[in-house]
Amino acid sequence: MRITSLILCLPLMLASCSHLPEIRPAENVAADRDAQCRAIFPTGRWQLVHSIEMLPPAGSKQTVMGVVQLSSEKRTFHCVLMTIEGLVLFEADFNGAVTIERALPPLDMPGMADGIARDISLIFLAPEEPCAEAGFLKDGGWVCRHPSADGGDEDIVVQPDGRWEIGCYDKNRRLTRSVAPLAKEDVHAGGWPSRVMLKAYGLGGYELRMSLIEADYLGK
Amino acid sequence: MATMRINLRKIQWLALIAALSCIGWADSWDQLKTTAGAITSVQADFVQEKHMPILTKPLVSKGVFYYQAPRAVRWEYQWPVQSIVAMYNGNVRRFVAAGGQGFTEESGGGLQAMQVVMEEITHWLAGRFDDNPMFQVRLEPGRCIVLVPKEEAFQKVIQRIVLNLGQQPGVIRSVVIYESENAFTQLTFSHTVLNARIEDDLFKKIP
Repeated sequence: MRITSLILCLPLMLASCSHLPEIRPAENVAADRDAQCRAIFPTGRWQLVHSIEMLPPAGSKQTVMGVVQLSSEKRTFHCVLMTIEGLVLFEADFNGAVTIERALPPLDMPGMADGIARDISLIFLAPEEPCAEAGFLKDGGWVCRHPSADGGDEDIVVQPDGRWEIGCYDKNRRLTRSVAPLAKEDVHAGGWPSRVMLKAYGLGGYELRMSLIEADYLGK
Repeated sequence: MATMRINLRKIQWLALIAALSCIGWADSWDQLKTTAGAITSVQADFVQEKHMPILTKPLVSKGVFYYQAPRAVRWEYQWPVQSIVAMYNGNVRRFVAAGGQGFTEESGGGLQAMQVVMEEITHWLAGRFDDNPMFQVRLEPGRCIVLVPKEEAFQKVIQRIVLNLGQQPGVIRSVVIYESENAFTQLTFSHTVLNARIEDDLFKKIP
């Protein structure tokens, strides 16, 4: 029954996939536009603690705690996922490649660590590649488009009112991930959004709703 | 893999609440069991500190624990994330209020394992503390109990658990759960009240 429903819904799901939006080139654009896009990411070394609601494609939501210690300059981070009760489920280093220090089932599944690292990079690290294209979207938002290593693109969209969104597109220009604050006004004392949502699209898609608990600046 | 998941959850909860099962001050297992048998309820505040080498400071959580004999338990985190696991008549439910929103029930795969564990907790609270075949348990001088998982696979998850009993019978001072020598979770209990009447609704009606 579930498989039948899935097959029936497939055309709708594919039709609903978002594609890489068209950019309208802008003239006389202020030089700080690219900086504005990059300003949504932490600068320097930070330790961030979040509660993370994980909404899988099927089954109940699970809440865990996440700790990320990152360096924007080195583009590295150390991450820990643990239960509310403190049991560490996953711990890894990212330094261009992922080094797993601990992974308990089901987070020890193949590809899981790379997926976690990719999501954390998308949320917290500015794109590695420089902006290749910039301009306005139909809705008036300013977009900085960065090519990705996998042949796709990463869009950072900043609206005139300050709202922002990150869109990650594959080489077929289909939206695979999006990241956005849940409420513009809800800002932590450290300057970061208190609540951020990551959505992964397609079959096996999921949501992560992250609520910032602590943000500690560790220096440059 | 499902068995492994259940066992991991089981170890975790055994570790967290084992301390509260050790409700009688004692220097021998017999004394411990005798004292525990007289306990009808326990309630205590707790502070949880997570220590890891990468953390610039311990990750702190706070909450309260309730037990009512024979089979009711409520383990509640109040800060920074609100989370309640409650058992009443053998039925275990979990609720979490994350992101400033109200409580929602989480009924993932871990809940079934928790049901097993919570049942075991009540056995411990009845004083059958060294019955669990998963652990080697030893009572050390200074009212200290050390639990070491017997299976090597479990030792990779939890190295050992150290319970420190208070001077007053029925009071647990702290429990330390070691995942490695320098990564551990410490629970420190305070304001422990024994044998007070606790309304059943506390275990049945979760917000």
